[in-house]
Amino acid sequence: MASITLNNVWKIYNKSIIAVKDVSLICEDGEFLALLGPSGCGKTSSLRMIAGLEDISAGEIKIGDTVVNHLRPKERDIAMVFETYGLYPHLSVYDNIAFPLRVRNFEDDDIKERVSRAAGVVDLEGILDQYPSALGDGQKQRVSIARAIVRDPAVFLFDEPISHLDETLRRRMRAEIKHLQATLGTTMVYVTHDQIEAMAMADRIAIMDYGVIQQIGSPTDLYSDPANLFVAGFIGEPPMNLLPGFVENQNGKLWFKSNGFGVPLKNSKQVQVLQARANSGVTLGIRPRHIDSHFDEVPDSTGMELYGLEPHGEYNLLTFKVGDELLLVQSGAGFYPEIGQTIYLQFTDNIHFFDNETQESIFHKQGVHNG
Amino acid sequence: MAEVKLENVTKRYGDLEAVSKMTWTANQGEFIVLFGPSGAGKTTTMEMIAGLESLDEGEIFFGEKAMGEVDTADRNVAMAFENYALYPHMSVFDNIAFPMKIPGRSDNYSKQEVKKRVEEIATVLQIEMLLDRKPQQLSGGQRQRVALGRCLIREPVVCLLDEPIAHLDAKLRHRMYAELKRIQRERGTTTIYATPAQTEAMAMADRVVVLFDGKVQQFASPRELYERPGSVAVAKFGGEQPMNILPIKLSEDKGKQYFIFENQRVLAPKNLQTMIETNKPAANSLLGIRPADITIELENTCEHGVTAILYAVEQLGSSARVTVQVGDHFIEIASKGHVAFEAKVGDMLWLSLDESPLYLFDAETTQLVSAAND
Repeated sequence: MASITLNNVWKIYNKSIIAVKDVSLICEDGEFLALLGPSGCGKTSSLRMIAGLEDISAGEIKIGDTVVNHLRPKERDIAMVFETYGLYPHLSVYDNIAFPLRVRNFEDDDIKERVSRAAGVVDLEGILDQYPSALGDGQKQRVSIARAIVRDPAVFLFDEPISHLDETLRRRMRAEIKHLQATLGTTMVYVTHDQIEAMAMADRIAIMDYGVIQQIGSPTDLYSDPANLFVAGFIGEPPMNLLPGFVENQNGKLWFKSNGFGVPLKNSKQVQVLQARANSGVTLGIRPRHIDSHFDEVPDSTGMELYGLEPHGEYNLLTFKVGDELLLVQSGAGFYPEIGQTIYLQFTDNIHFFDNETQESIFHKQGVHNG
Repeated sequence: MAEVKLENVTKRYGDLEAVSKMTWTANQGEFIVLFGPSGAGKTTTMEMIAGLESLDEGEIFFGEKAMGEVDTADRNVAMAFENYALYPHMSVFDNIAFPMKIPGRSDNYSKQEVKKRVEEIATVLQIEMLLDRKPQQLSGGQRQRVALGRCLIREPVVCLLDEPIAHLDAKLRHRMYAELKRIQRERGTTTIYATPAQTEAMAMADRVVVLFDGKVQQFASPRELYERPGSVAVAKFGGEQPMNILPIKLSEDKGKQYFIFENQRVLAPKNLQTMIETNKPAANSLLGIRPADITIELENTCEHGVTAILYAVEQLGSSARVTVQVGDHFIEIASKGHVAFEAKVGDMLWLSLDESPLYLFDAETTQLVSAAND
């Protein structure tokens, strides 16, 4: 086992396209780190540089204390799991798992013991004689995971291993990979574009956009204290509401206003930080579950006409029109209002503000969030 | 506009019965979602309604009129299927306007009217700035919206949509659900929408046709599907939090009701006792519990608890998903908020069902016997 360190790493294709821009991060020994972001954000290039499948344009990558920049992939003590499995169709499940041991000239007895241990970890004991063509997608991915763990590598690298599976299987595999990491304690770097996957499995997430790390933190950090508008909008489902507007003083109170829609700010710590921004452009961010909805008027509430209703079983998602934007509000399961009905919305103080120019969060690390 | 009625519709491909004796009616102006996994028969059903596929048995009616001998072109059906099928040489504007310009159609529109309608629809779909572009200059999600626009511009008898929103990002998707539902309500267009995503079905449908293996499992409103799933298949399929289904054996001992699950004998919680008394279910039954309705105890204090081993914990920001193992079974538990767990993977836990709304299904037929709110 080992940590992974990236020091000021760059990846530049064709001397002009910057895929990874000055990335520095540490994945601690035994940590599960997710590289998350939309397609083209540089996450896969970063992973491939760690694996040795891509040259490093500038900077340094270390596995443990060893600088690996000039080591070939097989000299790096890593194992990779791909979206496409990469199984050998002419080899049985057993031989597929044994393959990395055979090419490294392990003894037959040793191979047998390791394969059976690896197969046991991912529940493949019953199908070692079968060939990949006879397996379902989930089983194929398990074979590919067994092949990765059979060598006890220092580091596992996962490249979107479950994103193509159907919903039920994906949920199952998520729990399995998480369980695997808890039992093996191996350092894992996991690339995904799916924020739910990253949130569900990772100890920490490095979220990237345009080749740059936007924020590194635990899933809870990213969810409750996003550093900028990109992170705020990318993390969470249903997504955070982001309403562009401005703050202003009126009747001795500080208000946020957007498209004729006003929210009085009640939390004194938040008011203190925001006072300096009076009359300047900010974007308010609030998660759908942090807006309370009522049939009757309550203090500091705004009456709005219900535009749409999405029942989800566990909760209902109410939608409202604010100018051209759609405001999402999450309500309890039993709440079934009619479309067109007036609903009173009460914003909690679990809110975020972003500078319209820099897109940075004004409250980030200020400790003025509520929960 | 009219109701769309399917009566005993059957479609075979060789030995495979893709759609079996399907019967349901979309009322005029209703939003129906065909929901099921891939291969369930959704697209085949849509194609038969459109007249692109023939029927082996049964009949489809638009209003009173049987469609058996009516060609696709004469059915006045608008379609947006997953592969978009836009005209590559035409601009986005012309693609959307196309159905309004078909020569020989009775409903002739003036140029201004076409322009006004196209711009209206394009604004709703947030593609108004793309009207001059050609399809190959668009992303997949944008092409989907153009196909949707072309479908919505008309006033067809029925609008058939096959996963037109599937590839959009989360924010736009919620927007499209609201807008599509809105347009459909305002126009009163009978709409049939096929999707494998439960979220989509729940978000837009007046009623959902749940399809598995070409057969209708249940035909009900989203609320009813959630509160009274008719079978185990409906309760378990898809969604953010599919129901846990535990095979149990009911037994009575000294006047007390117990259930046996994975060799554990557990005193039946009060609501299960009531179900047993009212419904007299078979000894072999299936117990359904939603992930959000199970409470985890770190100590064995609950009277009706099941012993389990912690398998995995996933933190999801606003909630956490905990997977536990009981014998060969995995049970999912959703807890609100951040779970600061003292337990580690492999530790023993107790699942309390004291307050849980429970569902009981027959083990043989897998049909619902009793639901929590019955």
